Formats: sequence, C-alpha cells, structure tokens
Amino acid sequence: MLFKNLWEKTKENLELFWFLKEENCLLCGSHQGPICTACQSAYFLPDAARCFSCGKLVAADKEQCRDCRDGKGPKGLTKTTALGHYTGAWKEFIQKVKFKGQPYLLASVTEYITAWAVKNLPPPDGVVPVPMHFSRLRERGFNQAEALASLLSRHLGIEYMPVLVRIRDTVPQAALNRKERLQNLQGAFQVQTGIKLEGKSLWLVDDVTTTGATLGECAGELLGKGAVNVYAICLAAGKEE
Amino acid sequence: MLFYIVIENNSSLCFSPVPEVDRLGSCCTKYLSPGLPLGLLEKYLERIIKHQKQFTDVLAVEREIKDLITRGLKKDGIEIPEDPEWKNVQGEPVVHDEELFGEFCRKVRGRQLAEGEIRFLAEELGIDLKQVQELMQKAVKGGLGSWIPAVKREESGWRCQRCGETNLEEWPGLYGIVRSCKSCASLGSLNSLQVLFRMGGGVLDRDKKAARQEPLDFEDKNLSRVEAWGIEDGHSRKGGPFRLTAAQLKAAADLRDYVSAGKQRQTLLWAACGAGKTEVCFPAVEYALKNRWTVLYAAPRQDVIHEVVPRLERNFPGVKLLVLSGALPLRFESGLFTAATTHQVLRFYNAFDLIVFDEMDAYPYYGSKALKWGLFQALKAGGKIIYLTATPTREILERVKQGYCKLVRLPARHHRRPLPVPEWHRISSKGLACFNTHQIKELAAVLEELAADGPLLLFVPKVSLVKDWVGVLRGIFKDKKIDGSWSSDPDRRKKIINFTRGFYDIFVATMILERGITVRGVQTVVLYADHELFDERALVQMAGRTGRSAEQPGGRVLFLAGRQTEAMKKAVNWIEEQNRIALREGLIDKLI
Repeated sequence: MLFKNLWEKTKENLELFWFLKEENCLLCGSHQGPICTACQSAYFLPDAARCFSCGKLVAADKEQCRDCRDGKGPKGLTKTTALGHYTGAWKEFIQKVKFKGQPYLLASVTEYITAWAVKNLPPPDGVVPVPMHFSRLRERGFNQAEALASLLSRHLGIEYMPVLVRIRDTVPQAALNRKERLQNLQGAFQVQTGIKLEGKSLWLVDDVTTTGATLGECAGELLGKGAVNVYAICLAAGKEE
Repeated sequence: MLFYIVIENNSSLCFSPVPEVDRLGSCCTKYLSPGLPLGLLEKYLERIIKHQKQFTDVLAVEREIKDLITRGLKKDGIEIPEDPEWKNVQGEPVVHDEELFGEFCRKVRGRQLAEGEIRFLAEELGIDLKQVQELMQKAVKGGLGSWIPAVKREESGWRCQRCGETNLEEWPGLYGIVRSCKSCASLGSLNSLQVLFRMGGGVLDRDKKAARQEPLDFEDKNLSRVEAWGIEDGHSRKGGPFRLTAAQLKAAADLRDYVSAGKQRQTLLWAACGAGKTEVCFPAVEYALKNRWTVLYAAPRQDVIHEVVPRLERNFPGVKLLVLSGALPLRFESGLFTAATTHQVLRFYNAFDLIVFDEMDAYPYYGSKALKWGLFQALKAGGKIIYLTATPTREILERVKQGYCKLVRLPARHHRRPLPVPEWHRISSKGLACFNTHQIKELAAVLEELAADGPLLLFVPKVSLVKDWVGVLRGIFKDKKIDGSWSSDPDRRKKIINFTRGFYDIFVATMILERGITVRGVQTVVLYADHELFDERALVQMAGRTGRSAEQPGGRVLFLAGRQTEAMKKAVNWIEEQNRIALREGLIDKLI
C-alpha cells in the first residue's frame, strides 16, 4: 500500500515536471499556459492606461476616466489599478473562481497579478482584502478577495492584514446603479476594534471593480484609522469606450 | 448549499436545506442554526444519525447534537460567530402542488444534479431556486431521492461522487480544507462544500402502467422476432426500419438473447470495420424498449452521437429520444431512450437497464477512469452493457477471457467480400522522414500504381507531416488534386466532405480520419507504419477505410515502413482472423 502510494506520488510529480510548461491556456485552451500571449493582449491590454481613481481601463493618453474627472469617482484612494478588462473569457474565469467554487484557479494567475501590482504600485506595509459579510461567506465557504490578497502577500513577502470587517449585509453591487451603489455601502465596513494603522501604506485587494464605490468606502475606513496611503488592486475593471 | 439538522415530531432526525418542508402538519419541527455544509454535518453527526434515527428523549438528543457540533467546529478550528442553537420552524408548512411534483419527478428521474444545475431545472419548471430545493427535499423524504456531499470522504480517502476521481485539488476555506474535483469540471466544478441531488431511476409505477397501455409506434407484430429485421439484399427499405444482412442477423440474435436472458453483465460486439455494428444492436434495443427498460446509447465523441441519432429515430419511431452532448443546452427530461456522450453520462445515476456503448476504445473514454466510473454509475443494478468496437482493448479482451464479459463477433461486411489485408511494403521510414530522393521516387511508383484503382488516403503520425507530404506529393503528381487535414485544421469539416465526394485524388491526414469515414473506392496507405503512435488498433481502423462500399468492395491497404512492428503484425492477424471466421460461418464467399 505504502509502496503504491509512493509510486503514485512519484508519477504525479514526474508528470508535473514534464508537463509544467505544457499547461493549456486557462482562458482559451490553446497550448500555452497559464494564459497565452493572445489572451494576455486581448484581456490585460497592457498598453491601455488605468484611471488612477477607479482603476477603469482608459485610452493610453489619459489619466482618469470621465466619471472620475466629473468628481463621481471614489474618494480617498491614492491610486487604483486593475490587471485586466472585465469581459469575455477573463470575466468567465473570475466568475468560475467566485461563483463556481474554484478559488484554487487564482494560484495560476498569481504571476500576472503580482507583476502588474509591482509595476504599478509602490511597496506597501500590508495587503488588506475587501471583506465579505459573514452570511455570504458561510454560503460560499471562501472569500475570493482574501484568497487573492493572501497569494499576493505570500508571493511578495508583504504582511497579510485582514483588518476590515463587513458589518452590514448589502445587496450585491452588480444589481445597482452608481448612486445606489454609494448609498448601499455607507457604513457597511469597519476596521476591527483595537487595530491601529498609523503611518501605514496599504494595498486594498478585491476581485472586480466597476465604479470603485466599494474600494472608496473601504479606503475611507482605513484612512480613518490612520493609514496614510491606500492603493487598490483588482483582477478586472470596466473599460471606457 | 447549507444544510440543517432537523428534528421532526420530537422523534426523528433528518438533514435538510429547507427545514420548512420537513414540517408535518401542526407537529413541532426544530432545526439547529446555523446551517453547515452537508459533508461537515455528516462528519460530526455520523454516530447519532446511524444509531438514533428514532428516539424518545428529545431533550437529550438536542443536547447531544449541539454538543457534537460545537466540539466538532472547535476541533476543526472553524470560527463561526453564531453559536449553535435550536430553533422552531416558523410559518405555514409548505404544501406542494402534486402535479408540479410529478413533473419534477419525471424530469429528474435517474439523474444526479449538481447545485449549479438546479437553476436550469428551476427555469424549465418555471419556479424559483428555493421551490426546486423544496421539491428535492420532498423527494428525499419520500425515499425517491437523496442528498450526498459532492466530494466525500470514503474509507480509502476523498472521492468525487460524480466521476470517482480521487486526485483532488485542495484549498483552504472557511470550513477548513476544501477538495475540488478537476476531472469533471467541464460539467461544472464540484467541491466538498457542495452536494449532489440523486433521484432514483426506476420508472415510476404510474408511468409504467400508462406506458403499457399505450403501445409504442414501432411495435409492429411483424418485427417481434429478430428474423423480421432481416431481408435478402441488405438494403434498408425506404422509410421503413433498417434491415439486417445475414451476417448482422446472426450477431443481432446473439445480442438479443444476451440482453433477454444472458448471465453476464457485459457483452462485447467485436465487429469488422464497416460491418454496420450500430444496427446489429437494434433488435436488442427493441426488446428492451418493448419491456419498458430504460436504454442509453453512449459514445465518447459528439460527432458519433449526432450521426447516430437520426438512425435511432428512424428505426424507433414514436419513442422520444433524449439527446445530450456538450454541444446542446442542458435539458431535463426523461424517457425510455437516451443518447449521450460519455461526459454527459456523468449526469445520471442508477438510471439505465441497458447501455449500448459505441466505440468503447476511442478517446476520450479510453484511458479515462472518470468516464468509466460514470458509465457504471449510470447503469442500474442488474442492468446490462453492450460494448461495440472494431478494435477491442487488451483490457476488455482479458475480461472476455476470464468469463466476465460475453463475446459476440460480426466478422464480415454486408457485401460478402473479405476485409482487405494490409500489405507491408518495405521502405525506410528514415529515408522518408528526410525526404530522401531515392525513397521518394520509390514511393511515387508505389502510389502511382495504387492511384489507378481509386483515390488515395495517406495516414501520417504527426500534424507537421501532413503539410510536408502535401507539399512533396504536389511536387511529384502535378496533375492530381492533393490536400490534407488534421484535428485543429479550421477547414477540416469542409475538406473531409470534399474528400468523401471524390474531389481529391490524394488526401493526407493524421489519425482524425481513422474512424467513421467512408469514401468509395479508397486505397489506404499508412506512412511510417512502424511509428510508435500507431498501435494495432489504430492500424486496423485505418485499414478499415478501404472496401467499405458495396459498389467497390475491394481495394488495397499498404503499410509503408522500414521494419515490421508487433503492432503491424497484430493488425494483420486480427484482420485475417476476422476473414477466417467469416468464411467459416459462410458470411463471405472466399478469402481473397
């Protein structure tokens, strides 16, 4: 029995060794993984700029999206950036992670998100995940933002700081318009009692951002407890046409 | 989906995602809040559920359960802000529309549903998710269905309950380590926090009665005996059911006898390539359907299913055929007759009395533990499987030898001519590989001679060689139409149709054309026949492309290689053996 187990393990490891580089693309299935260059350029749009307030993908010569220029964007964030455009196969991938119970898939995209974060944001004192209300966490069994934040923390050797709690269960943001989103979130987050963040610079991590309302609300709470800079990083954001 | 432990009527226990359904009339029903994944509840309460389904001292049981759960959570380091607490089920008991429940039962009979699939069922029934969960719980309470953790710990370790996979992806979650199955993730990922809902596969008594009263359209007295399926010339009557040739009839009778009275659970129909094995099963299928057995026609690949469906519909008119493949949207219906790819078979549990499994040796079934597990899971206890293949695997031949599986042979094609036996032409594969001029000249002469008898189909072992050889051959035969294809070729379908219509003189392909294609008068050549990718089964399938049509039943098959491998020898032996059996049984007129 022991020998059989050992043999199975060896076989598995050998397969890993041989096929590590032959993994298929997670998004299109072609023979170049974890994400092929065609999908990277289609969904990550490395040449497009990101709106520094809300993270939305904007034309290369712009710094901010129209909404943020008009003062409708989130407040309090020093800079926001998103790895890719929330569309097509990248959107499906994130939904698999989130709604189909496959958070382990995030491990395969760590290299892309860490590289993007390091390139676009200054080093922080800690990574803070956007929290999920307990009633939802209980149903789902995990929080994808926590999974992502802990991957970033582990890969970059930055302290993992799950300091925020969601004290009110809110309606999912996806169902609401911009104004409703902002109202929906008021007072929904809180920094855990007894936590002090004086002088800290933090990365706030979430899976997807649309208007940036959630990120803004969380940033406000963190700044209220003494943080000096809050940067936000997400897997995906919308794109300004 | 979260589950609760429920105490009904102060006397019995059950697990439920919707405690409201478990409320019986005005009886007191209590549930322990908060809800937990079913796998955890089962783990913590295993002992009590096993021994105390019925009890009298309700307070003691309540205390014990609360205690077990609190201790279990603590031991596993699971932090939940709510303390376990017994609550009374509030509100009016759920009353179900019996007609709706009947429709639900019909739709999910013999199925296993993942949580993610419930919403499709809800849409079909025109109700919401919660209502479907209520119907499911009602079925569970009535003994018609069951809930099981989708990935569950068994004595030997964790296992996906849909596909049997034990090599699972582990990740940390709120409830400790979660196990996800990647093997059947193409049907929607399953993990140990989720459940499967399984519904019994027996035809409900009421339906059975109704079915017996309504005769099936094809139930024609003339077809009640196997012989009635046959006529002299082997052509199907226009508009009518298919007719079997003498060779097919013999095998068909054997299969039907096996289905009606055989002892073994499995039987293998080993047919010659192009002998019409699908139709040979029809009398057995007919027998099963007449007895109101549930029948599944399964194959590993979508195109086989899509190609066979019209033939099944034509031969069994009036029987509703449910078709499931990855190319079609998920539908919930159930009937006597289903056709599905082996992946889709994973959606069934204990559902079929008879499974006809075509191309059992083809990818992706061959070598997949998950799909094999699924097939046996979909078979009812006491159900039977007929495997169809021209090239059985070593494994199933071994089972035949040991007596676990019965063997039926169909050694001849309908035109009474023997299968062409491959000839080995010695030509160095090394020379071919580097396009040595001398070798190419020799090859050109061989091909020239063959091409006089009909279009040439050239098999090569690698995709890159298709393009190379198309180029080389175009250089040699300037006046011939030459092209080639491989699995990821975007024009594959179009080119193959053109080839079957006689548009090309020479067609180069990888093993994609090894199965299922018929081109009149085609001569087959296997280049690099000694390549390790070409096992005896691939070689027999490739050789089987020649001589299929009644108009041109002859033709040649050439293996071009510098040496004769075991696989090449075996392929020749297999084909010669089929011919010998056919001659002995009077199914062909002569060996050459």
